[in-house]
Amino acid sequence: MIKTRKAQEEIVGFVLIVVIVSVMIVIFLGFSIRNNNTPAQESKDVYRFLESSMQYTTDCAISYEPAYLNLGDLIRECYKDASLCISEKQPCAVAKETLKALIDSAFPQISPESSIKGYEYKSIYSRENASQEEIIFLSKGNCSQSIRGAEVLIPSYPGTISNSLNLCY
Amino acid sequence: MTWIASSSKGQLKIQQMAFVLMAIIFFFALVAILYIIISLGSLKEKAVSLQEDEAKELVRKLASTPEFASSACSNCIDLDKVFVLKFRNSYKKFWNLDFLQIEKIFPLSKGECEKSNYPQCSKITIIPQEEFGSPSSSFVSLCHFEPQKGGYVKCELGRIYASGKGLK
Repeated sequence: MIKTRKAQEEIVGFVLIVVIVSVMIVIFLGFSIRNNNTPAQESKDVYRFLESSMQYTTDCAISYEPAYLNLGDLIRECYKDASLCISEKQPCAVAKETLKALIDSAFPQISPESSIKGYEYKSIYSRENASQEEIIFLSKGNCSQSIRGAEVLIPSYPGTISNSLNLCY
Repeated sequence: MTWIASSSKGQLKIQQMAFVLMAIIFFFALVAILYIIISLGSLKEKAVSLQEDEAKELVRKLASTPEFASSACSNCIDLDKVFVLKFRNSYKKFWNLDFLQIEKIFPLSKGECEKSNYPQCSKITIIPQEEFGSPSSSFVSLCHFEPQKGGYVKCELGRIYASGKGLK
């Protein structure tokens, strides 16, 4: 009887060690997988692209020509939705068209066959104690895998407009 | 006799324990080695990417020097200034670079900028060099004076490319 009980105790001890080791392996694997699939890795190149794009002079002038707005100001106008361009185009339409052309020219390698499979661009207005409003959304290709991107903020009183571009690999 | 028997049993137990401890230590050592190998691999990738980022940052810094900077916005390049620099031979060795070029990305245009086609052109090569390897580059905003409709400053999207000892 005593021998059997001792053997049982040893088996319980062994099982306990196996369980502890397995839990540790699972935790370790969980951490490493989570680190590999970070939602969006910061890309300085994309940040520089966004920063430079916000300075791009668009074809839209609101008050008089040649006071053409830069892209950052045009996105602000698009959010306000208060006036049209002198050319009678909608500021949002001009902003979308310009952004698409800029992204396509700067990253011509985006295609299902290349390393960059697609992109997602978002302009979102947010302010304290209020829900976020999406102003512009552009996308191309497949964005289900790893992402590298950046975000540039434009002040738009009383909130801010966040412009983010994610390249999907 | 009983004392000897229980003593050998105790030794056996201690041996068992020692073997289990050895096995656990061996297992953890294997896991640690595997982890170190994986993290060292990613460390090399990170080092390469950091070097690239640093080179791009230096290229970007170059764009904010007085010879390039535009008053229209921060981090913008004055394309008119750069176009003048292209024809100044004294600036060829100023930055200690083997290659320095500015390229307009959007709107799309073609050809090297000359007095005959400026600003409807694509590239301004300030320091030309045939064997410059792979240059570092960074996106920049290129601004120039547009004389149409009364005159205004027009900014476009471009890239600055540079390579050479001056970047290290």
